[in-house]
Amino acid sequence: MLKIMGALMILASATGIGVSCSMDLKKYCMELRLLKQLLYMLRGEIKYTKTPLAEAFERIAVRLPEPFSTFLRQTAQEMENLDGRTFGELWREQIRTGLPGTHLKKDDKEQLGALGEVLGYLDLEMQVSSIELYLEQLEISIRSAQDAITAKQKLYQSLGVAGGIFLVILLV
Amino acid sequence: MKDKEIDENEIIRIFSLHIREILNRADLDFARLQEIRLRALAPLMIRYDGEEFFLNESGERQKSPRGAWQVTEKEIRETMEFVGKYSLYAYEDELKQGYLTLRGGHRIGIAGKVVLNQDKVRSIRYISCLNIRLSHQVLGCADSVLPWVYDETGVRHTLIISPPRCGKTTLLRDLVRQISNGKGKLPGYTVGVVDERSEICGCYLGVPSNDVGIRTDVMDGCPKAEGMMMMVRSMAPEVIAVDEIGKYEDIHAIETALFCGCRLIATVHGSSLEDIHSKPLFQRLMEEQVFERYLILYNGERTGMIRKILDGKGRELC
Repeated sequence: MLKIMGALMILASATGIGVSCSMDLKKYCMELRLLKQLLYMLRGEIKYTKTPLAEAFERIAVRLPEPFSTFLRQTAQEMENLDGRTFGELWREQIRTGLPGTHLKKDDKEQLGALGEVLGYLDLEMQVSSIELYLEQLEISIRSAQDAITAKQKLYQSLGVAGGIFLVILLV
Repeated sequence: MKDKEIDENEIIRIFSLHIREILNRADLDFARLQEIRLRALAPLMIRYDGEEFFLNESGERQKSPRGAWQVTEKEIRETMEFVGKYSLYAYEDELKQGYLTLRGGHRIGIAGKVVLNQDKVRSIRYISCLNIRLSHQVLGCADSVLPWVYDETGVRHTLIISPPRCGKTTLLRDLVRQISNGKGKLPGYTVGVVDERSEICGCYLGVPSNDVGIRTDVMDGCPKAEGMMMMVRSMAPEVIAVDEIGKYEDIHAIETALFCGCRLIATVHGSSLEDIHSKPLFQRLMEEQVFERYLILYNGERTGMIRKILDGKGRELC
């Protein structure tokens, strides 16, 4: 009886690991989409109403879920302080401290950080085209993340189950 | 007469970090500071008490440019980032005009490489020269001229004639404030200010930073001619105040405003009444003797020093 219980628990937890790995993939993809949404809104704010960045961040923060909402709000607050850092430095720092809970990869954060180097200083057209360039890069990341989901989701789940069964056989 | 206090922090924090440190070390009295000039690869310069000084790295004022802190292009770039609150694109229109206004009405003049689009200025890139002009509101600086402009019979059409940097805007601002608030038994009037370059009221996000009186409506950042017409149509001002008239459209708008029964207070660049007479633009206004008072300023030790006050016929009153 005890053996069966143990075997079931091993099986359940191994399956759980598989499912959570595939869920991470989904979350990652969703976060990339949210980032895309964020940048689209930012582009709109800049292009059509010429809203200053800090104000635009505050407005967009209301329409996005966590952690992006807090990330934007905090960035806006830091910007108001004008503590002597350039926007690039400030933006990178905020990405480092404000987005650790996300599933974004190092490369994604690097790309997002690089966008900060060109935001703010250039004229309107350049501003909008830099955001558009970033959106294109983001689109590529989203596509590859989606491909990864279809390819790996089932793999992770069945690997979890199979791994569980294997472990049970091994232990029994 | 007293200067309205200037928020030093508000000014210092627009500079790049190193220049902030120098200015902090310099321990300046901002009430006496008129200008801070930054030019790429040139010494850091200030105008203090009407005199020009250079600042060295430890913040000491000196008369000679030798040993003064050389401003770098990076410092100017960073300063522009802070001036524009990291969003310079939002100030494109102002940049085209060559200046930005800070909270408190302080003006930042900008020069650099101009980008043209079909012969029109599109923007300024490679900004290399900045001139931060501090706005000083001197409450009560119009006290001495007020009786000539504003009495029991009402407000007289007034033209303030002044060379640059003699305080004509400061004088106009105080006139507006006192006329709007009313003085003693004299009633206050509704004043409409058309503040094309945000100098009179120093509006920040549409709200005046300077005290311009309780009955004052401000049309901020609006071309004078259009603004005057809008004011007349919408706000029913009894007095209209504008700074630096100088275009044909302005004169046309002034005529319309006069026709509507508004009293007018305006300023113009010049050093004497003859100066204004000689400008074809003002000929008709002069011939019709529209203005009842001319206040002529000169560059004295104080802001708004009056050389003379003339009546509409050019007779000296004081």
